[in-house]
Amino acid sequence: MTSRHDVVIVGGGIVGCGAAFHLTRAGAKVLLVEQGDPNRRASGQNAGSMHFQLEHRLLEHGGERSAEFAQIIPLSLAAMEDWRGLEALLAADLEVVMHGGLMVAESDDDVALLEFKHAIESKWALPTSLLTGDEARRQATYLGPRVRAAGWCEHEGHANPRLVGPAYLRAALEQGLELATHTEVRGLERRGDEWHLRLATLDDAGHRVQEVTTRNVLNAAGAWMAEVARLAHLHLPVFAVPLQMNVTARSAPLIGHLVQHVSRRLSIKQVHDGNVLIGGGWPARFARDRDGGVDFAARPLPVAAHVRGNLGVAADVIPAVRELSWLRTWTGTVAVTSDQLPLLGEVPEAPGFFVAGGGSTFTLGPTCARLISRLILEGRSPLPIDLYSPARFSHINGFMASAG
Amino acid sequence: MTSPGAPAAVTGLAIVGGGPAGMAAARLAVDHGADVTVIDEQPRVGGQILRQPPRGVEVTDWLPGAVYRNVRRTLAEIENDPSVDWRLRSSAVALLPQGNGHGVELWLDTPEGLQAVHAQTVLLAPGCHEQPLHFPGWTLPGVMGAGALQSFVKSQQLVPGRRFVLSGSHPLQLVVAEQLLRAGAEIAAVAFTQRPWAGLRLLATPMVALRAHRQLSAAAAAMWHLRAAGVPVLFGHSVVRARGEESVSAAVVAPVDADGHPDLRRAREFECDRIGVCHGFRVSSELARQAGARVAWSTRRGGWLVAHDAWYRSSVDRLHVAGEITGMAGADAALEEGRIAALGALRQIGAIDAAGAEALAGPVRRRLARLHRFADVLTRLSAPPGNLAAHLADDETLLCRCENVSVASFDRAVDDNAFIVTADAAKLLTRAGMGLCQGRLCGEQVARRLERRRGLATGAAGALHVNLPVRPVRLGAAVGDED
Repeated sequence: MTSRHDVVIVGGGIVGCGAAFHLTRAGAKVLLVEQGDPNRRASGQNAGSMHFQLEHRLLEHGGERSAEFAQIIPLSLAAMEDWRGLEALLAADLEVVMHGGLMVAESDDDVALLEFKHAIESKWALPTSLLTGDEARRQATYLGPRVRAAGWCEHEGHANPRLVGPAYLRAALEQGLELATHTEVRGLERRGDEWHLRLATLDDAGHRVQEVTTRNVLNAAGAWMAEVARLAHLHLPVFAVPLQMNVTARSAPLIGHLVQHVSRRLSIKQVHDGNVLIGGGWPARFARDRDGGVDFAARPLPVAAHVRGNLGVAADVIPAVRELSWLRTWTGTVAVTSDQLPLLGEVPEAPGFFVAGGGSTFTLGPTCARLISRLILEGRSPLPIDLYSPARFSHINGFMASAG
Repeated sequence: MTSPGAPAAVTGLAIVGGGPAGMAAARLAVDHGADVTVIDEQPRVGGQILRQPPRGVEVTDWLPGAVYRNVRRTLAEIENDPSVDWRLRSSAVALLPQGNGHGVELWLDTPEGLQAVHAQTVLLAPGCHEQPLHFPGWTLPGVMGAGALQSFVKSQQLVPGRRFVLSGSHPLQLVVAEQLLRAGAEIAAVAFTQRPWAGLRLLATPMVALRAHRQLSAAAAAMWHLRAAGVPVLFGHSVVRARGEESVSAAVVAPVDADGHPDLRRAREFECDRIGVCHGFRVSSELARQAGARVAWSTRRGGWLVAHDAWYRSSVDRLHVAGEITGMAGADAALEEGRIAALGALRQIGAIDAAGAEALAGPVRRRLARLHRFADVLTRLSAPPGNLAAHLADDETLLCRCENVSVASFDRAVDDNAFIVTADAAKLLTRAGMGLCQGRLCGEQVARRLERRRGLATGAAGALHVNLPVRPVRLGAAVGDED
């Protein structure tokens, strides 16, 4: 038996659940397919930062590249608005806190980098300002004496990533979303103007296979985006990156902002429950399988030196964290595109095949979900998204799609 | 990790846990010329069974019973051996298998900060911890594990309270009650969830010469002594609520049926300031799980047991296991398992050949088979009613005491998010299991409640994933303190 849908979404993370919400709200018949439990991978495991200042990862490769990365700013500006309205939209407490964020500098080089960053941001109308070390410490009394300067963005903050995806999903289910969890996409091909998907659901009885048909496919599979695209005979340059994060036990209020570092890997914040989350893009490593190969599906393994490194940067910037209890280090796999800009749009070589994700996907998730839904429903996005279109990889898919 | 990039200390065999399994393994490994490091959280080895008095404290007539004979002999044989690298007051908080035969890195939380040890091979023998029971009032000060009460009496003959109620399903509570009584405590009551005939039927089976076995005969002797002293020993009863404002002032005890359902109309109150809960133990397999070892669920034998082969090798290369984490079987069995696991580890590092190991293992395996048969009977005898915890908890009862997650709020989250089917996902959604104890106390109930509400089989919700460090570490100690 084949069922027909307007949209099949692959991936139950923040983007997939968010798009399911927007699409079903508009009355579309939508199926969301998730290989495990929803929101269990990067969308639920990331540290929940809403960072809008240009990040360390976008600055570390120098001037010209950084100017390119500034193209992310229009999405960031939209994301600020989306986050401010999200709890009301979903009628859910998501622990959204937007009390501002600081990007700190310790050395002369750091200060120069901060000024360079600020100049780019000003050009793109991102509201940031520069603070001296003392100004920063007045704003954020917990910062230590090593902080020489800081970039300030009043819109930054954090939300609880464990709550956002499920809140979208609950609302979407109320609006009629069909959900298939513990279900893998095994086949994905276009026949005429429809897509046919073969789905395998793992339950107590073993694998149950079904076929579904849809006008549109939204690939929101995060670190598995490239794999899903390959089923449709397309290449997407999205790479799975293993990262690790750390959390302390709950403690009294200490850190009131999102704090990042301009040249070292650090993001630190204190969440609603009192835990301090410490991350910033420190790599974990992929697990090995029994034959010595790499097991991308398994939970990545933490790297000892990077735990120490990450906690060390945190202690340099905020000395008071030394007295907290390091409770847990966990790992997850995120998706990063080859040019570090998000992928958002329809693949020109495969009409009806949409992609969304691939970089800063928690911060930009609600916005990506909203814009891609409008693109699917109305054929155009309310905000220009050509900068993030998969069309920029047409030089690869020109080979692929024509063979499909 | 005392300074960045400093090389880790190197050892041949690192043994985590200085209880019976760890001590017996250390003795055997040292005798075969291995470099042995023993890591234990206590200032002296011996494990929970032989909780020792601090050095310099004289305790007369320390643990005289026959139950302790074999383990005390092993303790005497190893404790003062200078060829062992003793790492006491140290907690192994992470195991990082290096793969491809490169051994295992261990992180130790020590009084000197976080330190790394690199071992050719590791033997995990961390034992077990007590299982709490989630009844209304279980988090009031004064509600403790019976084993925790016992450790006070054992090590220093301290009586940690005035008037005690013990409640559970494990015969250990008789021994604890008697030790408390001898040390000067009042015992208000001892309640067993089982009805007496259930235990008697098992005792009547021709399995082993049970009545002659040391543990059970110690429990039987304790029961006579308690009854002679006028202590009520109730069968088919359980504590169903702890009363008190700041701390426990009374225990409400009621009859329970075979499923664990209490009959509250027939409840009685016992005034007391301590309630000792004795529903048996859960194995401390969190380090093994953190390292990625395969585990399998067994309600009766202690929870998530580490899978192993005939030489007690786990599924992770160079990670050996022994003692309770392979299935609750008691101290004497742990001694023998420690010996076999040590032989397996010695084979791994080339300190003994296969024939030599086989010859030594033969008699140990025969003794162990006998002990395992007895342990099987004891675990059957001491199994609590299947759904006791589910029946006793009310809406306000805390499911997760570290994160203050009530039963009602957990159930609501599970009902509101029908797409959640794993314990890990439930943890992420509710915070139950995310706190200081890392789910050791509530993880099982998180899974059971989720499974009951979803109509899933026991164990189907999976184990909570264990991250490092398995115990919290002061952040300053982890990064190296500034002077």
